[in-house]
This record gives sequence, C-alpha cells and structure tokens, in this order.
Amino acid sequence: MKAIIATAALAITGNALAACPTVTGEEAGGAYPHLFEKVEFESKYGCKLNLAQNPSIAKLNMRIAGNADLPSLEKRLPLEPLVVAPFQSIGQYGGVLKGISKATESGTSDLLSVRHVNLVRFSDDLQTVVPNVAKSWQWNSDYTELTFNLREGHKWSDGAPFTAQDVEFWYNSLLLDTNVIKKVKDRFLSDGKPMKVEAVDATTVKFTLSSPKPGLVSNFALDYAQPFQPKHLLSKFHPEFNKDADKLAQSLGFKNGYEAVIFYYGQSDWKDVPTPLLKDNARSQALVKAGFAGTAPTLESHIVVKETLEGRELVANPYFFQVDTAGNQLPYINEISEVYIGDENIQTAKMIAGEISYKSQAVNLPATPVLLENRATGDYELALRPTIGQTAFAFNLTDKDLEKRAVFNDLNFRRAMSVAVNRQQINEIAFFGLGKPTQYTGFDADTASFVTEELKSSWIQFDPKLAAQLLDKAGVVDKNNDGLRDLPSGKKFELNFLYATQGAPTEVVEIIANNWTEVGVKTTIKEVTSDEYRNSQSANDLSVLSWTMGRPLATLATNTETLLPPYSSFFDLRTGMLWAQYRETKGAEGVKPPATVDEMQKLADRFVTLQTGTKESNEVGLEIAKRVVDDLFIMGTVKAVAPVYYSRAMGNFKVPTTWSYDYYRMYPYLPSQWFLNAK
Amino acid sequence: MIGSFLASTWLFWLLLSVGGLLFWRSRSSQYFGFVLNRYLLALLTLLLVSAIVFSLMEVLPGDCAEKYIAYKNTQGETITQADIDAERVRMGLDKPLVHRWASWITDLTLRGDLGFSCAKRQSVNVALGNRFWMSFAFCIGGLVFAYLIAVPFGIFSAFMINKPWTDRNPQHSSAKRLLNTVWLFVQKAIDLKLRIISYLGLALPNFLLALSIILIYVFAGESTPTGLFSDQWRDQPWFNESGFQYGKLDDFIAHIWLPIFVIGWSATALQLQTVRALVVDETNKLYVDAAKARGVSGVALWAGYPVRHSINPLFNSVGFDFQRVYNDLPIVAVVIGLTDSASLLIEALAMTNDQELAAAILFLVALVVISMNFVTDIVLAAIDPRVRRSVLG
Repeated sequence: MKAIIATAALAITGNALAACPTVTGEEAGGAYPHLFEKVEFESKYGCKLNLAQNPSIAKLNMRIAGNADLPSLEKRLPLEPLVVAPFQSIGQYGGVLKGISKATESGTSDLLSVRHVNLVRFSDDLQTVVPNVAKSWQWNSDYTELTFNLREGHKWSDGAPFTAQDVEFWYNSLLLDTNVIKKVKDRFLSDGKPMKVEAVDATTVKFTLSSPKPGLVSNFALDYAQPFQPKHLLSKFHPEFNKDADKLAQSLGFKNGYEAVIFYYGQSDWKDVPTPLLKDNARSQALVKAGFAGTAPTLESHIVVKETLEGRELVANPYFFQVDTAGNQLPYINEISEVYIGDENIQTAKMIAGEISYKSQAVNLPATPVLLENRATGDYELALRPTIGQTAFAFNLTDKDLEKRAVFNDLNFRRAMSVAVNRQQINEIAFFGLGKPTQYTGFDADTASFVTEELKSSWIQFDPKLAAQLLDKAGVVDKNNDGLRDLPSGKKFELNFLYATQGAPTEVVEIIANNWTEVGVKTTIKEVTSDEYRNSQSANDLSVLSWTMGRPLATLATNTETLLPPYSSFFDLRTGMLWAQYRETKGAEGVKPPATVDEMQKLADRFVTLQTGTKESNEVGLEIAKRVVDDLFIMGTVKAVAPVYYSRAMGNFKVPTTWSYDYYRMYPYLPSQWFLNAK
Repeated sequence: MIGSFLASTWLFWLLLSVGGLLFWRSRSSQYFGFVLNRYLLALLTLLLVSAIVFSLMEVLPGDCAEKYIAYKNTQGETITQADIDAERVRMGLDKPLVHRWASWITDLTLRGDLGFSCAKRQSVNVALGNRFWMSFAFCIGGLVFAYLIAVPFGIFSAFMINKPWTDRNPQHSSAKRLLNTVWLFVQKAIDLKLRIISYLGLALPNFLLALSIILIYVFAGESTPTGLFSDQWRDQPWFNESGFQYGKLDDFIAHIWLPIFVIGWSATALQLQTVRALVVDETNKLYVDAAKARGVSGVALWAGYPVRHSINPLFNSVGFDFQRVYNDLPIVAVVIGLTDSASLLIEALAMTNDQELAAAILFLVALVVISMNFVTDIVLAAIDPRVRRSVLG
C-alpha cells in the first residue's frame, strides 16, 4: 500500500509540470465510462490539469440578472470537478445551439435534457448509473438508506455554495410543505409515506425509506425533477426559515412569503415552468434591484436569461461543475436559443433550411423522406433510432357485454387475433420497412437484455389458417353462413375499433381491422380525439383498445403499473377496468381477476426490491416477460424507428441509442461536451 | 384604507357611474334612454357570454389538471392518477363550477382582474399582457387592409355590373367606338380579375395560404418570415445611441405583412362581395332614378346616392367583421408562429383546458364586438335620421 502511494507521489512530483495528455474517444474513462474524478484523472496520467475558461464567460455572466462579477475559475469550480472525456475531441468554445419546442411547456424536454443535471446519470450504454452532481453514493445492506456524497465547493449559478442543505430543503420544505406542493408525487414517497431526507454534513445527504427501493438511484438518473433547490435564496421567503419572510415578500409586492417562493420555484420540478422572467418580468427586475436573483439559480449547464411566449434564451452557467480532460470548463457552447413552433410543417421547413442544431422530439417518421433528401442543402444529418414502446392493442377483458367478455377472456381468441395480423405489411406501409415486428413483453425489449428472441417473436407470425383454427376452438364460428363469424350464442359479432392517432397510426389500425375482417371477425374503425378515446376507455366503454406501450427496464424497476390491472394510467392503454376495481375495493365491487394476475402481483412486488442487472433481477424479469406473453392480454405490433436530426456543425455529438423520452432524451449522451464547429 | 378599497373595486365604480350618468340624462332625453338601454343590454350580454363560456369548458371532457398533465404526458413522462389529483388540488378545481364562475366574475367587475391561469401559473392579465392588443391590432390591420381594397373596388365592381364589353352605340364614330371598347375591356378585365381573386380568397383556407407563402421562402433559400422579428432584431431596442432603429422597423414590416395579408385576404373577398351587392341594390332604387331625372350624373350621382346609403350597413357590421377576422386568426397564428392571444386561446382550449384563460380571451373578444356594436348603434342613431326614427319610435 505504502509503495503504491509512494510511486503515485513520485509520479505526480516527477511530472508536476507535464501537461495532461489529450484523453478523448469512445473508450476513454476512469472508474465510470467517459468520466473521471479530478484526483483520479491526475493520478492515472501523472499530470496536473491546467484549468481554463471560456473567453466570453464574463460577457455571458453579465446577462444573468442579479449575478455579481465573476471570481477566478478556481473559485468557481468545485474542489473536485467532474472530468469529462469528450466523445471525439476537445471542443472549441462559442456558438449558439438552436432548437425548436412547441410552446413554453410543450415539446421542451428535448432541449431541457441538453442542460439537465441530476445527482446521477445513466451512461450512454443506458445500463450504468454514473456520478454527476453527486460524486458517489452508497446503499445500506437492505436498500432502505441511500447516502449521496456531493462535491466540496460546488456552487450555484449565482456563486452561492451548493450543499446537502439544498437537497434537504427541496424535499422537506418544498415538496412536503402543503403551502407549496399540495400533494407529493408518488415516486418521491416510499410506500406512500414521505422519505426521511437529512443533510448529514455539507456534502453528505441521506435518504431513509420505509421499504427497500433499489430503483431509487436509477430513478434520480431518469427523473426530470432535480432534487435540490437554492435554499440560500428561497429560505429568505420561506416562513419556516425566516420570521420576517412575509414582511420581506410584502415589501417586494408579493402577498406573502410563499407567493415569492412559488414565483421562483413554480410549484413544479419541471424546468420548463415559466420562470419569473416570463411570469412577470417587471417584478423580476424589481427583485434584482432589491439584491435578489432575477430567476432562480441553477446547477445546470445553461441558465435562462430571457423568456417570452416566443422562446427562451440561455447562456452557459459560469459555475458549472464539469471540465474536459484538458481542464477546460464545460459547457463549450455559449448559448442556447429555443423558439416555439407549433406547426409540424413549419418545423420541418426550418429543419430543411438548416436553421436548427439538433432535434429529435416531435420529429416524426413521415417527415423522414423529405428530411433525408435535403441533407446537403441544410448541412445536417439524420439518424433513425428505435423508439421505446410500440403500438399495442388489446381486448377489453371486462367488457360490458358479457358474451364478448367471455370471448375476450379466451386465450385461443387472443392468440388467433394476434396471428391474424400481418405485421410485415404494417412495417412496410406505416414504417417504410424500417421497423421490427415485435410481441409485447411488458419491457421495452431493446433495453432489457434478458427478454429472449423467442418471447419477442411469439404469436407474431402472420398465419390466417392458424387464426381460423383458434377461432373455431374459441367457439367463434359462422353460424348463419353469411361469411362472418358470430358469437358462440349465434349473435352477430362485430368489433368497433375506436382509436386516436396519438396512440395508434391510422395505417396500422386500418391494416389490423382489415386482417381481422379477413379471418371472419368483422371490424369497423373510427378515429376519435385522444380525449374522447381516453374518457371512453376509462369509462369501460370500449371493446378494442390501442396505444403505445412498453417501458424501459429502468422505469419498470420502480414502477410496475403496466403489469397489473388496469395496465396503465388514464393516458395509455387500459384493459380490465373492473378487475382493477375489484382489487381496489378488496372485492366489494368489480370483477374477480383470474389467478394469473395475483401471480403477476407477486412477481412485480419482488422485482421492485431487486437491483436491476443482477442475476436474480434478470430471472424475475424474464418470468414477468414470459407471463405477459403467455397471458397475451396486450398484443404488440411493430417496433418503429424515429428520426434524430443534428447539424453537421455539431462536434462530439453521439447519436442516441434509442429515440425516446425515457432516459430523459440527450441526458445520457453528455450534451455539456457538445460543441459547434466554426464554419 | 379607502384608497386600497377604491383600488380594488375601481372598475365597479366606473361602470356604475357611467350607468348613473346615462340614467340621469335619460330622464330628459329619449336618445340617452336608448343609450342607457343599449348599455345595460351590453353588460347583460357580457355576463351571459362569460357564463356560457365557463359552462362550455365544463362540458368538455377532462379539466385543466387532467389536460395539463396530458400535455406534459406528450413529453413521455409516466403519469399516475395521483399526479392528476395533486394537480387538481393545486389548481383549485375541487371547488364547484358556480363558485369558480362567481369569484371570477366578481374579480372582473370589481377591478378588471381576469383571473388566474391554472396551466400557466400566472395571472391571466400578465399572461395576456400585450397579446390581446397584438391580436386586436392584427385584426384591425386586416380589416383596414380589407376595407381599403374592398370598398373602392366593390363600388367599382358594382359600377361595372351592367356595362357591356364593347361599345356598339351607332351614334359614336368608329374611332370613338374603338377607344371606348378598349377602355371598357380594360375595366371589365380588372373587375373580372378582382372578382376571381376575391373568390380565391374565400375558397383558400387561411392556414394553407400562410403555409404556401412560407414554403416559397424556404425553397427560395430565404429565412422564413415567421414570428414578429428575425433573430437579428428581436432583442434590439427601438431606440439606441444612434437614434431610432429603422432597421428594426423594416424587419417588423417584413414580418407583419404576412399575418395581415393572410387574414386580410378572405375578409377582403367577403367585403368586396358585400359592398358590390349593397351598391347594386341601392342603384336600382327609385330615388336614384329620380336623381338621374333631375340631371345628377357621373361620380356625383354615385357618391351622393347609392354609395352613401350602402355605407351604413357596412359601418354597422364592423363589430361582426372583427369577430369573423378574429376567428380566422388562431390557425394563422399557429402556422406563422405568432404568440398573440389567438394562439393562447388554441392552447387554452385544445391543449390545457385552461378555463379562466380561455374565458378571459373569449370574453375580451365579445367585449370588443359588443362595444363596437354599442358604439355603431349609438353613433348611427345620432347621425342617421332613419335609424333614429326606427329606434326611438
């Protein structure tokens, strides 16, 4: 041990003046991919990082309302900055990243994810949770106590110290204070009860849970909510911390202290809720005059300096905690400019003209041909990545019509209807042949490696003959010789397929309905608005259900909602509403679900207590997927791809593995090390 | 104390004193009795409008909490019923409809407070800010554009209606006949062309027109004229050290023509047809023949008789024209990327079900229409003896 330290010390002194090597590329990294702690980096390469800053940082800082002049870079960075190994090369400072959202709070997660930070992050393999704001973390042995270690000397974007107190303040004084948040979101509770969050010291914060939840760490890696808020600013207006909070707030024109807190915080952890700059710019300026921040400080790579109903402007955070392997403070990109375009055609026009730097959210497959064709004109690239989730359909297992309900509950019927669908045709027509026919397994199969090919391809073959045999077995046969199958009692059997394009593309629904009619089950389709669809679905009025389904492993590890009746929230695909009612009322109302639902409950309960990626977790996961396919309550169609657009000027850009929100868009792909090549 | 009481109830006193003044005058004047009547009717209509708007939003499936979460759900976030309930409590939607409407209408009549937008988390007055005036200006701009073209050309078109394409008058010399024929042909051609364009204006959906114009820009490799300013000028002040920024004005004009032109076109088309029909109607009346018989002719005949009488109904319908143009605005606003009150209305109605915001915008539109009707009613009653006689009995 001594010898190692001695060698290391020798190495450091020996190379005291040697510059660090340029460490970049896909394979670079220390204990975690693409990342080093500063000490780790310096000792590994026996060098000392020369810190350097963006030459325009002082100018950018002047645009942050309420910020004082900048101290030196050493005083702005934490003692232990996170060292990022760029994907390709050391970048150059400058430039404006241009993007499009739909409105202040719509279609924004694309750009939010570019500046986002959280305690931890999913690496670009989408499997490893890696440090970010937190330097490290530890669980106790039964996964009920989670401790995060923060970086000493880490600062908010206004220069005030960021400490464990800010995490504690976020949870105890904002989330749990009913004056601010009336009701806490489920995922921040443990077994329905609040967690205990305490700052052990300035850089240590501990979460104590009432039951094991190993998924909590990955939850922080996925969550848009940033579990820290600037206590130094908000506590001045928080009556719990300042006796004169109300007086202070009133002197600034607020009704009371809480109104001032909400003015900054916005009662939501989404970072796209209107900032004071949009809510009331005059008041924000008055606050700056009185010595407060114009908008709440952040730990993110960029901070909002202008917000109108037309868009947002952001500048680089001069106190951002990451540096590259050459010691340059990140981010490289000076500014982000976000404009709101509501119309998809205008959005496409702007993309063709090369007016934006990057976009994936709300870029849909039908726009692909025209976007591919104009790549040279607009000087951009287009990549097609698999989406998470796919259009799935189901039959109402607790249909109001009792005879239909009995038919839908017959596994032969569901299998018949699954193999009656020509998924190859769906792929050709709706997805330009770029998708992949896939059975619904509960998991998004691309992120859950334990889901076997066999499961993914069960009952997806196009086999009308088999379908006919299975339908005969289910008793759905043609009784009156009109060429169409009837219900076992001889009553006319017709399916009304109501759908909303938001959940299922028209082409897909048309093909499915056509296929079903061909095997003798007459199906008519009708497009309705998503509102109407959702309301009818939850009112148990529909017989055929359809929506995009399939969650990534990391989400299912903490939220097993999609495995149990009614199989989803109000917004997605729901079936077995009466089963759900039965379970909620403990048997007083509703319909008793079959035994397999209880079995699934047991598996799901066990799955959330296991650390994902472990052998045990994978085994339980596989059992869940098997049961989902065996039950076939929900049937998959084709897993599609969707376009990712990026300008050729973008440096260090890594095309994401999946096209989805689920890992918070670009957050796993280190947007802080993106840069813009000067033309 | 009294100061703050007055500050929080100023609008009520204003409305009350206008009513009181009218009532006092109406005791000695039939005309003011009519004005008071109209005033009370206008207020009542507005109250009714707000009630209808409020209850209509209640009929729509889902409430602000649910819609707002659904709007968030489009980002991909996993939503639970608990999240919806939490939002509902935050937005105060657990209170009954009558309670919400009554408190909204009270705040409105007391101090012009349009309420609190549940989805935008800010007061509606701030959320709307100048945006209502922006839409108002677009509509007025569109209307002025429409009237400027429609009125003269409508009259011209009516003037041309019974004119032949050629001059066949045997009393004219052949040279004169040729000259007249050429002149007639030019006039008829202009009329025909204008009418074709105006029918096109009626037939083309506004959003398609806007989209086509923008696409022309894209394929010409020019930057698209969306929004109100280009990036370069958006943040520049109107005035700086070197005086007024004409560049910004240029830039503004380069962007502003598109919405005004798009919404103005169909309004022009409709107006042109109206003016034409009105003038033609009046031309066939006996008093015009009588004037002709007295020897009035040419422009004096047209301007003094049929045209003068056809302007009244046109003036009377300004309020409705405004409303019709405003109806066209939202879809155009979405396409062109304007963030005026019309696009806020679409958002509030279609995406977030933001009751108070939508009610406020619809209420303001109703307010403009009703005030315009109120003004035209009392102005016409004051200046036109025919109207005065019909309304005052």
